[in-house]
Amino acid sequence: MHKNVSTFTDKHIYEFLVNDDFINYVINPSPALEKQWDQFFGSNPQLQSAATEARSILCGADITNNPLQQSEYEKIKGNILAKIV
Amino acid sequence: MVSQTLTHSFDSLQTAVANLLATAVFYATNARFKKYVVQHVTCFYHNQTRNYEPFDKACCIFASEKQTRIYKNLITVMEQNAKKTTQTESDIKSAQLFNDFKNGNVAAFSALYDLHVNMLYNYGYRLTTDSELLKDCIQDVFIKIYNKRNELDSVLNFKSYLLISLKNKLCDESRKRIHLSDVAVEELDTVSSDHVENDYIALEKQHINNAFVSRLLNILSPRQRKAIELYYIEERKYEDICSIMEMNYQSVRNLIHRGMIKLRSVAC
Repeated sequence: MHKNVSTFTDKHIYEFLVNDDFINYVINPSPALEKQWDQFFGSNPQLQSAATEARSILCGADITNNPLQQSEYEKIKGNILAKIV
Repeated sequence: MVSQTLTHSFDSLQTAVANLLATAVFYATNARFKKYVVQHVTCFYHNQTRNYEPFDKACCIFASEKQTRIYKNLITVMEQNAKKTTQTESDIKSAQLFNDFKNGNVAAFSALYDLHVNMLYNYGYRLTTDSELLKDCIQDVFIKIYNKRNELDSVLNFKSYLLISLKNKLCDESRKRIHLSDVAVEELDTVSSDHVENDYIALEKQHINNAFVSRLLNILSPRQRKAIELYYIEERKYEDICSIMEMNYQSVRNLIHRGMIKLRSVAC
């Protein structure tokens, strides 16, 4: 379901991206999650850069890389609204 | 929309940094210090992670522990401010939209779609190259979240729900396709979806084991060690070891046997 993962770091970014706990930690953190991940990065500092990259994807900071075409954007929106109204 | 928010937030960040530096006049006069503080807080602000390199460099400027402590307090305050500013500015609008959406307002839902769809598409694109599948899944996820709106309690919850639902949906769909295509799951070149932490626990255990074995091997005599490495690690036959070490068969067996007894006595 995903692209061929070519490097070690890509693999780690991918693993952060599919980790529910990590997603919640980035988007909607609880004190428990913050503690858990602070500890994790404390003992695995080498994963920090992969996590930063994953974080920027989850926050939508690099949306210019693969933009959704305007026509597609409208089409999906139309389909959704047609189904819920 | 997102880039606008970021630029806006960054202006506030600069103001926050300036204000804070102005309150600490003594430190503000030190150009190097100022540079490091800005670097540190900017990094924290954008990535919400602490980059300690400028922090450490800044600490080197200070002669006394007291100065370093003041600086650390300063940094903590700035981080808290940065966090507070991000939350208040970018989320007021989406929080309002979210409340309207919870009350069934379709226009608010449509605006939430506008705010999140690009982020979601970009996220999904990191998980699959099949853009048709991705678009179908995004559509389903938005319809699902509309129907489940009563179960959500905040806009942050809304966002993480979108991301996690999309990820699960993409997983389900690819599983279905694998099932239909008659390809055994084992034959697919996929990355383990295990928790990244498990990989590291395994790696860590391996390191510990390796260190333990090499400590044990050090207690052997050089010849015992060589014979055992040849036999167990390089998996050579006794005959080969005899010729490599220029010893007869029985001596090699005795050497390995005595070495193993020594290892067992230490390891247990």
